Amino acid sequence: MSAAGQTSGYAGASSEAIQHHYDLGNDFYRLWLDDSLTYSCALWADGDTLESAQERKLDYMIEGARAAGAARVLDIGCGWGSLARRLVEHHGVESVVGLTLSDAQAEHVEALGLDGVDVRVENWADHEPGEPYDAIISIGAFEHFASYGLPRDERVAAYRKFFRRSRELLRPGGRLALQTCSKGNNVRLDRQTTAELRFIIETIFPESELPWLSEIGLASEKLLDPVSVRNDPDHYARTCAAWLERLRAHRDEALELVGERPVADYERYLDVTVKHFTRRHLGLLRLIFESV
Amino acid sequence: MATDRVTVEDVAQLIRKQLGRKFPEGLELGPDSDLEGLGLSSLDQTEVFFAVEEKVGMELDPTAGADVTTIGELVGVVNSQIEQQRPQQPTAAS
Repeated sequence: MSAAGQTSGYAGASSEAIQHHYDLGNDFYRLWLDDSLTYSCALWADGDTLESAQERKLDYMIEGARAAGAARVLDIGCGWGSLARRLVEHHGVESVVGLTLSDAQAEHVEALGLDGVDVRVENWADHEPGEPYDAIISIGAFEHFASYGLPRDERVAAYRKFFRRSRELLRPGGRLALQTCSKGNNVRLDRQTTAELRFIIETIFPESELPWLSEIGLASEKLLDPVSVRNDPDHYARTCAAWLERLRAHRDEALELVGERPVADYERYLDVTVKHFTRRHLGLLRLIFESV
Repeated sequence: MATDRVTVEDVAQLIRKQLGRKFPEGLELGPDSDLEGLGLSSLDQTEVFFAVEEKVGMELDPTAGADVTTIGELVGVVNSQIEQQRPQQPTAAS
């Protein structure tokens, strides 16, 4: 077992908080995510389905991290294993270690029986591999690395621990591909927007906080070289809209699986995130770093 | 009725209300009190800003408060906006 409290300083959301969100049951998420259960912003191009846009995103992160053909890749926040599967089945990676704090996700990935994939219920701060990795990819986990309400300097310190650990885990010249939601630079919030953002933080993602881009810059300074940064809020608006459409189409099954309240909460969460990514109250960063 | 100006004590009171039970017992607030250091998240700070708007009875520019870090700075920003929005008094009596 791994828990944030066992390490010194803040090392990310607790197992309980992660399980609050991700252990509603794999069958619930299967109703509205794509077939690979990729629960993060896709990368859309003309003519894409949700499935192809998710594959495009995984490939973008894999190529950015130079992970194709690598011997060892670490997947921090592996979710239901779509990236790990893509790495071993399409990109010739020999060994992928996937870290998650969700038992339900780990059981799901184990059941996939993917050759070369080792999934662990473990915090990255506690992960001690025998040898360095060629690449690290982390998609949609960074949001859980700082607790909501931490002052800026403590957030940066928490993020810095992650970047320092990433550098230690990478071979020299190895790359980290990181995707995370961020605060958006449209700070003209009205009362309704504020209430909706608070609902997301308190009801859907407890113990989570979104970074400013500057905090990521500060936290990685003198540890990793930035290679590229892109902000894709419209891609997340489109992804959430696709998820919401699927959830509504399977509403009766969802009600049967988890009951009225979670379904209503998730409909509201997806609906307001479409709006707030579109309005730039939220951002979606994809960053590539290189160990120097 | 709109308030003429806000004071450090006005804002301190709104912050205590916003934090409720999370407010550190016995803590004295002053102009140098750091908003994040008190445990106010960015959304808490936005809500304090709304409460200040209600108190002064006017809408303030939300971007003006974005760089504020202390109670004193918030009071300064709010009072400067109140000053800017106040209807100009006729200067000559006839």
